[in-house]
Amino acid sequence: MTANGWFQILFYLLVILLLTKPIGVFMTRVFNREKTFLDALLRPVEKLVYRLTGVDEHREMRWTEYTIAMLLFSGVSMALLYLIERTQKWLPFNPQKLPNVEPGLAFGTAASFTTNTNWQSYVPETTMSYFTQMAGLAYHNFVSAAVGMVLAIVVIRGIARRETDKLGNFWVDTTRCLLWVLLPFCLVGSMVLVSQGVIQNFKPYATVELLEPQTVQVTNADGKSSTQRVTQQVIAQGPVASQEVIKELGTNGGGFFNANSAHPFENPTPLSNFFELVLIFAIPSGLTYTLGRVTGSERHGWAVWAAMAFLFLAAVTATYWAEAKGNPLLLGTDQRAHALQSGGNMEGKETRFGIANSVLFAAATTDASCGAVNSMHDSYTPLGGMVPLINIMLGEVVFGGVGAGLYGIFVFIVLAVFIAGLMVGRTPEYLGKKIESYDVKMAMLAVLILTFTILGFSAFAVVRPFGTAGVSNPGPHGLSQILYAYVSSAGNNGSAFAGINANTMWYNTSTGVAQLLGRFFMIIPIMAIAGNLARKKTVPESAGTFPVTGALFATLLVSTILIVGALTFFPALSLGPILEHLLMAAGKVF
Amino acid sequence: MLDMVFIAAIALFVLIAVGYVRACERIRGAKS
Repeated sequence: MTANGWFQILFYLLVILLLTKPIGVFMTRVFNREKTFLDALLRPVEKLVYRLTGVDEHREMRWTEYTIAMLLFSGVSMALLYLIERTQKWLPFNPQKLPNVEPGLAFGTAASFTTNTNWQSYVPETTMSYFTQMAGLAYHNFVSAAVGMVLAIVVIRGIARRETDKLGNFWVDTTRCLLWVLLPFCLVGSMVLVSQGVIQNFKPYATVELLEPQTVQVTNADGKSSTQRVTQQVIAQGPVASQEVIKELGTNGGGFFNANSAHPFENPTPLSNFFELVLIFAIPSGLTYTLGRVTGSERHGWAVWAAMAFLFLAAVTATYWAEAKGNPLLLGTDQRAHALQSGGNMEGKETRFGIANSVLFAAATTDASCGAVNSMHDSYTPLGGMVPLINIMLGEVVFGGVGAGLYGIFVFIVLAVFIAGLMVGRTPEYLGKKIESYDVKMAMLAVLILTFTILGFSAFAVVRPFGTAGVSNPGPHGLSQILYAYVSSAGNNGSAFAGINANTMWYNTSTGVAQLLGRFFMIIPIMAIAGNLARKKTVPESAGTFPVTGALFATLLVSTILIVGALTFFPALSLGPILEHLLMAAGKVF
Repeated sequence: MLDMVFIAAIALFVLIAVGYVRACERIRGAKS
């Protein structure tokens, strides 16, 4: 670890801290339908959208109506994406003449992008046409992010409102989220990325002559190997910048290229890397301030932010330590950091980013449910790779996905407040609302659905030949690859231990189902809690009320998150990365 | 054929999820 690396990590967190309030205030104004500087431009567009779609912007919905509208919207969008993928051969903007996507892969990808997961078991530049990337995938990058954000807003309204069953209008919230927040941010953000060299064009792929032709050994279809002289390279390109910015801002993570943010056309400079990192946490961090502002307790919002920041720093420190230490089995190799090299374990990392910016990206992308990567997590040391895994297992509540992080940590807040209530022997209260058995039951339902999905699918995959067929490494690392696939899917993250070949019918469909369960079956009980809280009266604070504003609350919240995560997933982790680490120390690698 | 299966699976998932919403609301109603 170096002072330079730590400076960059802490500077990043400082920038996120400084952005939290302005973004939080702006989102509060947008969703409260207060005046903003964009109203003169966007209000006429908004009115036109409602007129064309027949939406009554003044009609509010109960939590059940809101959730069903969201489900129908997501279902129709998912089916449309599936159809686009299956018909892309006949659709425009396909200069490479790419064929239609296979049904299993089309289903998995449709589920993936609808749920904000963006798990990609395919090579995008050789599978998806420009039309599919823009009208299918980038469209979902926007709307799945908007859906996550408006659900977080509903949860905040549920806490703030009293004695009502109305929580807003799904169509109005989604429209305002897209028009006021995501589209303007992305317009400016894509210009910043283009200024750094991220490409944006509709050209067919370029074929160039290699300066140094290569001779390679290839295996033919009949199994015989032969030698081939490679003199040309195809350079993929396309409308990258417009997809890149929402990829991070919407915590989607699906790259235009297979190499994701390690690709120089997606992430060309240290500044573009820093900007992409800021985009990942900008909205989730801002939403903590929105929580505090709308509920009338800004200190509560900051307490939640502090708990998240603590867990984030813990994750970065652990990964940085593990990766900077290097591989103990590379005896006699200079793995120290100095002026000429980053040192440590550089396998799977870009030399231009080094260890610090790679682990920072890995921690941010898995703390948020982003899934974009600028280094390959599969190549991390066992303990270094375990941290991204744990981040997702904890529910991606450390800032988290746009909206998903806030409504995810809301579950842990309910549990933390409940535990505090049990300790002092009083009915637990949260910002003046009594937390009762129905709320705790729904919170546990949200926690359990994630657990059952991850462990259930992983357990089934490790004992079936079609589950183990895609694994590229034997032993505990193979288990980690399978576990990561389902953790990432159910957690709607989308990053991968990329050693696994997941482009099979089993993995495409099973991860697709895991993504749908992890997204929607978790959202429903959380929305039920929001609906239930909104109906309640507010009770005045008393001496017995557990404060949700200070260090004690933040500590209890962090403890609850860690205990729930540790109790649930420690056995699986001990058989995967922990065992791999111990075996590596004994001289055995996989 | 597979296309029909996958489109039907999407529709079925939405239906089950709507049922889940109703079930959560019914549990609350029964409680109160």
